Amino acid sequence: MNPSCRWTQHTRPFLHYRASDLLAEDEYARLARYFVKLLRSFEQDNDSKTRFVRSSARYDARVLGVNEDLASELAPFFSATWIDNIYSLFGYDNIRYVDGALHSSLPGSRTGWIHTDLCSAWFVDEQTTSTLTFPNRSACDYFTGVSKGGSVPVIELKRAAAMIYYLCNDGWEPGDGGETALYDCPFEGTFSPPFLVQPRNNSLLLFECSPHSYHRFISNTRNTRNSIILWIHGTPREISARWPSSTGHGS
Amino acid sequence: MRAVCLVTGASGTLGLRLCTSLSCDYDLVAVYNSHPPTFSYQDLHFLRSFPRRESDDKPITAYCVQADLRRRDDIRRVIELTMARHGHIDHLVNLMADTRFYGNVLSLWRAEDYADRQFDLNAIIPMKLAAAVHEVCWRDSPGENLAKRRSVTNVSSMSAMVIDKSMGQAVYAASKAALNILTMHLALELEPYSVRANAICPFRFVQNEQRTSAVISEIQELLAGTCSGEIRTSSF
Repeated sequence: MNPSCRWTQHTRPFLHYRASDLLAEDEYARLARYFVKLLRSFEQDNDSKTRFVRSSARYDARVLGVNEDLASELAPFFSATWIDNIYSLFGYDNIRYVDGALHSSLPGSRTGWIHTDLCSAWFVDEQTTSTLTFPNRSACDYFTGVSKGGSVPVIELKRAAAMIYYLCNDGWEPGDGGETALYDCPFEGTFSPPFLVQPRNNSLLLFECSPHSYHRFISNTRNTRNSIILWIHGTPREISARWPSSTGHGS
Repeated sequence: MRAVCLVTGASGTLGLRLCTSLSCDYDLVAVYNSHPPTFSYQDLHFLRSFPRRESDDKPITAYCVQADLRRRDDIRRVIELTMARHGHIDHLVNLMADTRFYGNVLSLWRAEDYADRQFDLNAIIPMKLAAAVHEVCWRDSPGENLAKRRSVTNVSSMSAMVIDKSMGQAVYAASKAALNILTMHLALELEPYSVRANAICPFRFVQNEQRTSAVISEIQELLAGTCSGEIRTSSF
């Protein structure tokens, strides 16, 4: 961690945290190099192990899901300590079910849809020796729980908190787009203006997934916009106790 | 009990620095219009480390209110909020201004009505706000006003004092000159109530640390002092 890192807590439009200059210079440089290496290996070799894909017809970013192997290279974010801190911050039982992705949006990527991230997430119910449990996407669909090629026991959880760490956005300036916009309600308008979080290198956005954590990606005009996303999960019982009316369709 | 200072234009270059400096000695209510300030306030807290559920940060710099003071209702709301929070207002510091240089006088015939708006915001609105604060907080308590050295401080500009030939700042300069004259009249009218009114006229201080610091020191001196009816131009 960078000793001069600055954490701020914001209450508008919903409670969230931001950090700037989060990692020490060498830590950031290592992470950025690794991110670029993954991107290049995809662009040059189309290596299936590191394939960034478009995850949704509505979202233009190229996405690479994080698994145990990738996670170890993405420290401190997918470390037990980091995950424990996030669970502790938002007061959830620490069950250490996580998901993550690397996002890379080419210039001209479209503005996303406003959503909350509060949704169901399905994991394979299996014994593991890992400290953290990641979704096994080859065995079951993360969003629906539908098994892929055989019957596997699955458990339904819900996303409890989301983190976006911005990196490899060198030279970003206001006007370039690529921000994360936060909103008071599920639409943008005169009385619901966006609160823009700038995708500056080595900065971070962290928020609890709630029925009102409305946010979206804003179209980037000039440069590719890159980030690492992380989610922690809670049990439906715990999430529903906190947000009784949540429908779980926030993705 | 700490003195309460109402600051307008709080999210501008000078406003951010001034509020941070004044927060050591005053309870601040900071008014901004379009951009929220970047100092700590009720919606923005600086944390020492990875956040915890219990806030571990310092007290906020100011209580902030978003308002467009060109609207009468917003003036009323700002004063009501300040009174509801603190029960009194000791000092009013007006930093709000439209600082743009729109162009020449000879273009006015073809221009939009920027001149009216700039005059209104830079010269008239500060007076309306001072008059409203006076009516609500100062009119009936001259003794308390005297004891607490209550005051209005308007941040004007050297553009009001000298003619700069090159920059197309006629209307801006005239609006600040009007602010100076109005401030002196305000000082006369507030004198029976033992409330002071002054203005300072800095040069352009954007990104000039020394000048910004000098302006802040001057404002602090005016707040703590006893003078009234002064238009200060020296030392910054």
